[in-house]
Amino acid sequence: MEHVIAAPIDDSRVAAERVEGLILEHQTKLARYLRRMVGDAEVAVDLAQDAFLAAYRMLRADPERPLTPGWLYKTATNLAISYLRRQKLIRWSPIDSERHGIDLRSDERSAASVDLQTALGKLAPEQAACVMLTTYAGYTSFEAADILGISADAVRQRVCRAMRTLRVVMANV
Amino acid sequence: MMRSPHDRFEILAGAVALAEASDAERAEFAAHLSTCERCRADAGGEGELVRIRNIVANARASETWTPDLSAPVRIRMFALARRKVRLAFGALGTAIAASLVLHFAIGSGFFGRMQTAFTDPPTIKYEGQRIVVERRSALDRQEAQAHRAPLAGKTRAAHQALVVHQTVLVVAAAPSLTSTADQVVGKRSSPPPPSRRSKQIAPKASVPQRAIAQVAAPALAPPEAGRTAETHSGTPLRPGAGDVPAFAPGKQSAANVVGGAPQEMSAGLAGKAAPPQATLAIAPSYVSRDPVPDGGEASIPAEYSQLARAENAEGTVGVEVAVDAVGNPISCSIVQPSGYLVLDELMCKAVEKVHYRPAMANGKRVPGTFRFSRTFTLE
Repeated sequence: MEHVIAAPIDDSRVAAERVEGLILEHQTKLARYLRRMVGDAEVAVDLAQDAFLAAYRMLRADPERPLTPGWLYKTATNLAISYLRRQKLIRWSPIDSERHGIDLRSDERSAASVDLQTALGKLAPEQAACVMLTTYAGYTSFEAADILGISADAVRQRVCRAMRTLRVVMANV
Repeated sequence: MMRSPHDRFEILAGAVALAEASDAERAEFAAHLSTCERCRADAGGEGELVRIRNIVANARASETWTPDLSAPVRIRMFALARRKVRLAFGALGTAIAASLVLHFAIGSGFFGRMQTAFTDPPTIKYEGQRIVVERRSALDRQEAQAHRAPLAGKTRAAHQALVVHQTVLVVAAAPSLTSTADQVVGKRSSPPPPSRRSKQIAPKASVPQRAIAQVAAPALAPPEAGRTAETHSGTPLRPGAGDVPAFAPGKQSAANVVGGAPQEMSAGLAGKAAPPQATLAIAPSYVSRDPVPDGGEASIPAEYSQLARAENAEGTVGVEVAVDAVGNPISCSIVQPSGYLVLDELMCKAVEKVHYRPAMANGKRVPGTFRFSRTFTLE
């Protein structure tokens, strides 16, 4: 009987250890990806924490379950998209046209980088996710399609549309 | 699915931008671009797409930000694990733990042995990562060892279960308990105020030093020779708590217990790191006590009535409440009048509103008297 009771603790420990491994391996990439997505370093850290915590919850239910970086990106992307949608609802006003802050460190503030961040802020969250997962995070359109749960063609189409917007915005900045 | 030529172009352009397009696709892309003015204006040529892609890809190279998520995530995971354990072992857990202990105690013949071999009930203490079973016994060491052997495995099993829900189990020295025979009482072990009620609860490992000195004082007496204290690991432990006098409320003040076993014990326990979550106590049958309100003295209503307020009535009222064997107040008499009839009546009404834990004599519920006084002041 005590084994039944002891199980959650052991599972939790195993899950926590696996999550710590994932953090060491992926935290920088994931947090930077999220910062590009939401344009705010603090929010990115929060969302990245949420993503790892989601991994922990899942692993606690099933400690043996394989967990790919793609899963982390998927969770992070969904978190970012819901955050951006929420922001849009809350902050929608004509005065507040600048949805994204530009939250880059001073040594990261090259002109291109700042322009890109501004332009990314103009994209629809789903388009931003497509373009970031492929060109920034380095996934193919098929992998990105898997992560986002859409078809590869849809990813490519969104990438095209996103780039069209990026091109226009960056030309005007 | 039929797609418009523009949709098809966008997909192709995406493939080209991601450098995933085959030669045929690239040719199709170029062909559409040469015929469609609109698409050429919107997306630009292949060169333009590649330029944008490189800007995004190069942005990654210029980044230096390295946040550290380990610590915050670890804290949140820990909080989550704790919450889960607490949820799982909240109300139900107390019952499970209680049944476990009873199971363990009965299964190992604890109760039977208590009557034959052990003069005192056993004490199970949870100290950090281990559980200590103390049995003060009149047996010599070898006999005690023989009794301990079959118990050892079960102790470990119980220990495992205990560590899980971080529960302290105290099968406590008998006369310090007020519960009925074989009744299991679960109680949160936040340090209790040294009130009359908390004095009647068994000494607990989690009570801070000062509180222990007060709470444990009546329950512990100086060491007694000829008795052995044993843990399940076989080492003598805490020779202090030997025989235990019956609890008499108010007879012994904390000041009486200076030096000796209680102080040593409280000092030792105060140093323990992780405070346990809950205390369970199993009370043997020879308990005596006076009636007490179910929710403690604080549960007795203290509101002024409109009449008392109108009269500006202030003063101390002492009352005696006769409580029957099931805990209902029978009558109230004023032993210390305040000088205001309205205040005296208010007090009697208040003490008759609450239910009581009935008085006990030798483990049986008997009628008794609850004495109480309160000072009323208008702010």
